[in-house]
Amino acid sequence: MSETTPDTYNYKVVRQFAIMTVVWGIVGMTVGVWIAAQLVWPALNFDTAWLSFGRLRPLHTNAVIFAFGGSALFATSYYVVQRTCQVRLFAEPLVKFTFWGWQAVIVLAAITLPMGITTSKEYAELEWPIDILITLVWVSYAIVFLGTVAKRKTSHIYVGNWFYMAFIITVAVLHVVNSAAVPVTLTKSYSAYAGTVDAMVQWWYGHNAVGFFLTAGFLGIMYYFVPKQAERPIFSYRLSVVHFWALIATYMWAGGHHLHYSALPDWTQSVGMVMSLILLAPSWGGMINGMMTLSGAWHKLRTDPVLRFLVVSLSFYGMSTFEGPMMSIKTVNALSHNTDWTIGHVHAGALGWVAMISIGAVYHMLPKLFGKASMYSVKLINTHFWLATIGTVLYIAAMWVNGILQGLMWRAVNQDGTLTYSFVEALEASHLGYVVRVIGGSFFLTGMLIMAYNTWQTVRANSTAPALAESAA
Amino acid sequence: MTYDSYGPYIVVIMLVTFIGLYAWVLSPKRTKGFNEAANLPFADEEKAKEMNGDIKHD
Repeated sequence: MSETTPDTYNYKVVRQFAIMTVVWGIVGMTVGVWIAAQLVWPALNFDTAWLSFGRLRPLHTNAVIFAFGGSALFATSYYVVQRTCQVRLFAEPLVKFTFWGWQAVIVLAAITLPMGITTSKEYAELEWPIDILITLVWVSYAIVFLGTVAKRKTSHIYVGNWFYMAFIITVAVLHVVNSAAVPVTLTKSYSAYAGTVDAMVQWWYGHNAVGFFLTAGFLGIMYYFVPKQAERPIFSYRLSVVHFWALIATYMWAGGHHLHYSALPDWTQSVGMVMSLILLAPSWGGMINGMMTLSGAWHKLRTDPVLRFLVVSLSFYGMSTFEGPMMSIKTVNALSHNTDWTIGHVHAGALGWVAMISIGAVYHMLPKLFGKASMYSVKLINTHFWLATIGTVLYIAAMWVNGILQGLMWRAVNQDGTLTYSFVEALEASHLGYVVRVIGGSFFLTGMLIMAYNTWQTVRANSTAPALAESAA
Repeated sequence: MTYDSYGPYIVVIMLVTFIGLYAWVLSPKRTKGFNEAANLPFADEEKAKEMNGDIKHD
């Protein structure tokens, strides 16, 4: 088809990021299981400040979102953009800088967060010197990606690349605006915004981090890897175009739903709610598009655990994008806010959608990147799939029960207007759910450890994984 | 101009934009281009191996 052979693609950086996806996944999820265990056995903080829940929780979120998810996005985007544009990555030195720069950001986060150095903005906790490094890496990423698209040998820009571009550009804007701060010392700064405005900027950032980092980027993964693994083009390219524009136009306005019943003006809360409800349409359009790609090829699910990862991730995506709009309705939010329901919702998206589609994509890429016909063991991929699925279901079911229980107990009032339950009573009632969560999380983490073993056996020297017959991947 | 005066028109602009998007997307003129684009994930591999006849077009 083209004179560009796979050998001329830059696979080195893709290999680096793909391996780090597995490594950071294990690190981030281990911290997650640990802090989940702290909520069951509080003694696990060992009375040490830097092992306390408050410091490890941002370490967990940063590690899974930016280290694990970020590495998956870098790896897949560099892989997809080269293969669908049929050119090698643009600006080689910047490509290297994005890898080492991003790893430096992660290491700095792993050092500063347990030390208690934080801006206190959720998902934007890192202090200003690290924020500057993130900006430099991100601008380099944008130059590499957009430069590669610009020099493409194909006439069209594939829809997956549109999603990646939206993700890269929007995250740059979100990060720079929300991280604007006045530095006081090297490790301390104050937000450039005050009061309610600060809260609104933070949740405009926070929700769009979900919308563009954890959704648009991973939809880029979906639009390449689902068709590729199913060996048929996307169900409807027309739908994918509508999906793209509707999704990015709507997500921007939904952040207000994080601040229901706060000092935020009432109309802003209502805009957040209405836009969140509208968001159901593009979200489900995308999910249906991915799912229907398998029409006529459903039998492949029986034999292909990688495809199963990709398709089940779409089911969880559909589930959490239904749950999200529902929770953004103010009256529902009055019950769910600040309860474990929110944490369950986040993990339906994070474990079920983001992690599972990343895992599927990495399993798809690894053999091709290392010149193998398949992974070392397809059976172990299947084991991983079931551990991940059961783990996610246990986790979110436990948090649903806990969340509704907490919401109902907190709002219960006696005839004379006093609260029926004290906070501690609701906490005690949540104990069983916390135990189930630790079990679910451990299932998911065990799956990742199996993936690491399978990856090692595939990529190591003298690997016994079946080699690729031809040189072309 | 304040939000009170231009606010109601935002909805109209969004609706027109959305209908325009649909008109653009659904135009039969674009079928060929969309089919080409949809097959890009397979285009960089040998045709014989990937385009094995049963590939469905949009």
